[in-house]
Amino acid sequence: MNMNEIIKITNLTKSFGNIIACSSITLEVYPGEIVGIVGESGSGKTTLLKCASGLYKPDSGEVFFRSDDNYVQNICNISEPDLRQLMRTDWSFIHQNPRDGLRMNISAGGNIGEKLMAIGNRHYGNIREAAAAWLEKVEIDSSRIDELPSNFSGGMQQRLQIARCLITEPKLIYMDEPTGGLDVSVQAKILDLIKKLVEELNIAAVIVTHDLGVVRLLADRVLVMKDGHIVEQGITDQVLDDPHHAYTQLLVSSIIQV
Amino acid sequence: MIELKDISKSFRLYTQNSAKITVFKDVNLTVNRGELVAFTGKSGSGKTTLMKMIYGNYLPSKGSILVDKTDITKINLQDLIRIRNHKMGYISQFLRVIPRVSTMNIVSDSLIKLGSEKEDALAQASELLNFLDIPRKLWNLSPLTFSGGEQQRINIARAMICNYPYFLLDEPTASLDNKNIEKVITLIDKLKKNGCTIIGIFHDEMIRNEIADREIDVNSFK
Repeated sequence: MNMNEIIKITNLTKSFGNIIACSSITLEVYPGEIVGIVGESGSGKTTLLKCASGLYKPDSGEVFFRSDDNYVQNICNISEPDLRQLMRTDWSFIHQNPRDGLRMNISAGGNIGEKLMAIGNRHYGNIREAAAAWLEKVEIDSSRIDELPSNFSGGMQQRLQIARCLITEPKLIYMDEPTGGLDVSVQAKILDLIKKLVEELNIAAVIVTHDLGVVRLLADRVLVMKDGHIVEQGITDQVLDDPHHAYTQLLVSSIIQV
Repeated sequence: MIELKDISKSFRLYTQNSAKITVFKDVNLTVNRGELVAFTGKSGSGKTTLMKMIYGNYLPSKGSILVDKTDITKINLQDLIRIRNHKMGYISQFLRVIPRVSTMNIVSDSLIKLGSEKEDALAQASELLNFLDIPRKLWNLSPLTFSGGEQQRINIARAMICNYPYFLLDEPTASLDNKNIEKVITLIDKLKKNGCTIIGIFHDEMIRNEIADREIDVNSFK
């Protein structure tokens, strides 16, 4: 199978009991682009992200992922070891709650460094140095490298998780409300970091967020979800400036101006 | 060349009793290569709406918009994004940037995105910022705290540093003093000499007289 997309989701459906979280979702993501997903709580955004990243198994539909060597796999029916390998090397998932993405019982430096070890780095000094550099990139003082994440504030834990997810330079980054708990000043820095990384490495990112300001600055295009469906999609400024669906209009007109 | 064929545009406002506002009906317009067309008409007449449709920012309700013979209303989003990133510069009155990113980076990033080497991009950005009279001591600061006129010049610099074949200018000189307006006019002239196709909105009649090849009153499209 030949494809240009890095990930291609077709007709994905996922229910929990009698609640349909995602209904026949089709979505393609190309290298070098950032795709935003917005919508109200419970609209299925996170479920879609988790199905796309192999954390949930969809009830039906396919999720094709293309590795660097153009090898395409359907991650809905590959073996557990193959899936783990992809999760380690090819994509990262930044969770809404940093505790879901961090190992709380190892140090900040260990949290970042173990990802490098997982992809084959062995030189302790280099790993520690890289971890310290990434702490500084997300604006955590590198002198705190040996502290446990539980010593950190919520916002710092989130930044630590982001460093852990980005250090291996994955080809695809999934982000579930990554900036929700961050103070505004740090948020800007993180957005710039993600944008640069996507441009320089020609990777892709999918970001779920409530914050339309974040979407506007970061995403090339955006999908609007409601009740498990994509109700509208397009280039970001088109969807935000000229929304066609009633729900998107409500969403956009409800922003409080500062 | 930009061609608008039978373009109509209306807005349906679901949050306001589903009011329907029709802005344009059956607009036909051709802007040739190397030509600068100025849209005129009073505030609210739809100048920006028309321009935003050409940029793919607003969707026409009907009709087609051809840029280099490609109908941007019918192509897929990736192709539209590519056209916007590589062919069209859009300069609005307002600067929209990620906070805390320096002026120098904002301006040079436009070129780096198109594949330029970093050193080259920084050199060109310096030259342009110098030309537009942005004091060197501001280059490493975020433009969000700058004056309105300075922000507007940063906005011009980050777009005009790229040699796009198409430019859409929405009041790029609205808060500039005369000296800086002259500089921007010089830049626009240079674009025109390079064969760039430009559509602009300028409230100042003097500016229009100086650079526009043709004026079109958008009220004629109602």
